[in-house]
Amino acid sequence: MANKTASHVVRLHRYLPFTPAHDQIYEEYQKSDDTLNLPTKALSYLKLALADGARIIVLTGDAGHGKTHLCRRVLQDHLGYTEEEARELINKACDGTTTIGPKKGSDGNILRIYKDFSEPDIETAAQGINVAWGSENETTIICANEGRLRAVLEAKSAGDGCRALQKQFRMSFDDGLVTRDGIVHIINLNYQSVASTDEEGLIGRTLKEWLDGRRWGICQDCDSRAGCPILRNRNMLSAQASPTADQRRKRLEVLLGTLERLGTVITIREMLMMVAYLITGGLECTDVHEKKRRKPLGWQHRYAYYNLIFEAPDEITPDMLARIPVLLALPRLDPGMRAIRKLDEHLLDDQSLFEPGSIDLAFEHRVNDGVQSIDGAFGIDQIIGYPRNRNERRVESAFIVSVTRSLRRRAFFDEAFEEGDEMSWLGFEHGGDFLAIVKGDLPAARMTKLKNIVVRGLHTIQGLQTRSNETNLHLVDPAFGKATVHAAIIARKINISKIKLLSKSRTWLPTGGNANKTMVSAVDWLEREIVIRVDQDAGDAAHFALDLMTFDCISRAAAGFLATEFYSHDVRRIKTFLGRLAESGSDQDQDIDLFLHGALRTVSIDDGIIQVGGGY
Amino acid sequence: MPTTAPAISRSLFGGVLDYDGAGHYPGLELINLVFCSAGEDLLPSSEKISVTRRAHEFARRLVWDEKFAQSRLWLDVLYDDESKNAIRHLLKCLQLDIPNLKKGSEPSWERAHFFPYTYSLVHWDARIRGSRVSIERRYLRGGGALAFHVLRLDGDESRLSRVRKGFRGLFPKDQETPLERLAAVLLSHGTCDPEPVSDEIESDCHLMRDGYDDILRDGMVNILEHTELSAVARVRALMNWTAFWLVLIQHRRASERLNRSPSFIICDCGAGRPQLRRASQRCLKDLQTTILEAADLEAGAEALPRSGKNKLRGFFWASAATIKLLNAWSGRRHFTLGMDILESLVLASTSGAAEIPFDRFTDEWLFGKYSLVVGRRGAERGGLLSSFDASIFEDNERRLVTQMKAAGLLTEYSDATRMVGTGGLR
Repeated sequence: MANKTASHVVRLHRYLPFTPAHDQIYEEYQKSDDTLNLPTKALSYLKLALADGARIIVLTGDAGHGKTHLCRRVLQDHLGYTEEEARELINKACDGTTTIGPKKGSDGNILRIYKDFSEPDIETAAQGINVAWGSENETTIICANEGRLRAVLEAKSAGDGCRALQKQFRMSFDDGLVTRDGIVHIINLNYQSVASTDEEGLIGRTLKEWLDGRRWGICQDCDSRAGCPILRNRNMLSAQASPTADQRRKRLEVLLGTLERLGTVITIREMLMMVAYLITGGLECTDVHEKKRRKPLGWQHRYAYYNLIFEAPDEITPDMLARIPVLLALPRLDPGMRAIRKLDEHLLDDQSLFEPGSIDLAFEHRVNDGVQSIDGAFGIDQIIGYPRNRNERRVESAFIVSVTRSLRRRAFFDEAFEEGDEMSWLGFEHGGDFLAIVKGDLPAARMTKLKNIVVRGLHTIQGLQTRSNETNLHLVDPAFGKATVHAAIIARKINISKIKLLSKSRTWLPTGGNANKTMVSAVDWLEREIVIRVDQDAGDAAHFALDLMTFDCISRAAAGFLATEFYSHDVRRIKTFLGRLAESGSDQDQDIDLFLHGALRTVSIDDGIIQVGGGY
Repeated sequence: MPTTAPAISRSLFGGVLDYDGAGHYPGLELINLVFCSAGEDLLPSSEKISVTRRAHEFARRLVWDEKFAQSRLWLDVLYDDESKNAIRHLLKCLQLDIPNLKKGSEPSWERAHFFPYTYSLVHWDARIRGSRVSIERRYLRGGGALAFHVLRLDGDESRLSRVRKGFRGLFPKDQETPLERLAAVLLSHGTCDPEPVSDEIESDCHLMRDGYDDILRDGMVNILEHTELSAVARVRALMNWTAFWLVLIQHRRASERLNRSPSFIICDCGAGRPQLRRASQRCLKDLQTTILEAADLEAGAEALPRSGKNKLRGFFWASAATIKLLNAWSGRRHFTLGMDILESLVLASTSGAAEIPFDRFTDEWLFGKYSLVVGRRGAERGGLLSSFDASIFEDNERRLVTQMKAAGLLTEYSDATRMVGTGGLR
């Protein structure tokens, strides 16, 4: 046998933005052999809309969501072109100046495609929309980044078409509808999730495709296979090689889902770059052969996928890493940085969690004049360095930290625990509650408990300290928003029964017959926000969307203290909402409620005499 | 030739700008004039206006006059000691900030004002003369009167009616909040003009008709029409905006009087570049010098006394410091953009829920209209790039983006499109 080079690893490198051959990242430069054609919900919806006679389809979202890719797939699937032909059309005939008809022998609408709305200037683009609005015999597909789309729709030369689109675009954020009339469809790909909970997320599907056994057959004949971190990553994440792989992939989805719930938009392009990086660690087969020749064991742990997510190896510089922005955001969630006593005892003392002899848990520690090999499966007991001075103590301490973090990270992916508990490993104590609300159908008692927590949190944010079982949400008069002396007038009280905690998509449900035209059915969907709905008089309702961070802010505040500097942005938004709510329906009773010195009091005005009643 | 500081101020800037009336006082004065002027219409277009002023001295003395609180004079209004203490404590939260108050000390009741959060909290200056309360100008010196004059004499009828509607929306008559009811009772025990009195300071203001008046009107209409935000947020923005506009016209009209190239303010948003910090500090000194030189030119041979000069110059820096356009009240000071003024500028520049691209915001609005240099483009247009490295201003702009993003005033899309608006506050 000899060292082999896997063509699949070479292919994965074409997805890494810091390698010279990163052609797979952009649709226009891809080659037809072995491209990744992931089936997405957006594609299915797009085909349905075309079949239903749509006139304008806007694909909006950040660069990298796959807008150009969707156009190419439409040319193939709807107009009957081959992949090469479709790609050529994308490069030559998709600037909006020409139309594309179906291939001979195929049916389909005549399409006019703007593959990038950033190419024409704003005024030309606005006119393009107006022309498309008036063209009944063709379908115009417009790919526009969200910022560009907003700028075009607000252009000086915006006509009826732009205004109609703008109205629908704005309303889509409130009612979640992709289309109202079947003529204009706006598919906002920023709602597309790589960790969708509908079925298997896009990241799961990508991993399945790329880790398929057939692609890795050559590695079985490679001399370096026993010490190859790339193959080890593949084996840990492929169900064909490891029984825990499904759970690990699920946890990866939880991780990315959490990031999305914090407001980070992860595009498909970024996800593909990240997955390619997680599997290879930026190493090619020849790098592995060379590294293994120099040192058989002890370096592979740096390239284990669970370490790569949170910590880059030395040769990957911050500049290189910055080209995959999601990797800059992920360290915030590093479970390796969180000490959970129960888990740490289990990891470091019980020593029964991982099987011994894994290359990703083999560490090397320089002690005195030699090198000590440590198997992380046995915890940190093997680390005996006898440090003789401060520097050696520091080195040993750093080594222990590094081993412990690796073990915690791997445990996050390997340990079996109840759904929702994984969120506290990522630093969100109340993340389980968030997921429970998102899932819906909670028992009434649990929901009331959660509402109590939210109400208590909102009280703390307004400077009120109330009992834990308070049945009313007290809204402080906005004039006291900056009060630091703990005295305020209560402008309004809202009974807890009028407050609902819903997932975002459930607030869109009343659209009734349009249920299949909401964003949920048009893209791979993840519930990223929950909504506080406050029922008002006359059937109106006020809504306030909470992402995971804001929910965490409110839930933590429920304990009675809030780090206002850390959460300043969230607090500002929450206070603005509460201020509007307080103004929208102030109580007109004779009594005025007052919060003073930690107690609620009442003020009555009788014949011009003001009397403050005792607190309760 | 004018010889007194108020006369020079009137002839240079259109109205009386005085150190004692700097900061939030012009905003307070403006709200007083809008809501207390005689007649049905807000912002009347008549030549002269008269105002029904009120002192609110009962509530103010109750809170800030210890002697009054110890006396039993309040027994006609408050039931007992407990009620008195509770109401005192509560009203203290509504005090208008006094930035130059010594830490830990309490202001006298004549110096302390209520922030005009509701209609019945709006009140004029007052002081004790002998044994009676006299309603007279003390801190409301004329800045707000100038703004009021500019707003009410707007040639654009539709904009004027929008401003009127916006002001009416601040304190709707049918909305009686608990705070309003409480304040109304306390107000009724204070002194009030039995008849509307004519306001000479306002009538003496004049329009300069140089384009800056429209900046105030456009900004005001935008702020008042942000009804998606609470009225309290609009009132706060209005107060900051009035002060900012006065700072703007003071340095721009002074430099125009001297026939110099238009002046601007170099803001250091905290990017940590010492050259920018020094430039911003120097800019503050230069603008104050410009104001003084313009005053000297206006005074002609009759030199303005030092105290008069300090009044004009003091209005400039004290207003800037109060609205957080300066980093501090005293010490080594430079221009910056604090969160409050930033929010007010965004409200003044955006109409309703509409958003504007960040580049347009910094270029057209911050530099073009408000004469604030923050980013590279502004520095280029201001001719600063011949003496400064452009990267300084790029860093400065990036810092501003971070701050605006954190405050919910900016949304950043991955295609480098950054939109400014109030979306994040909603």
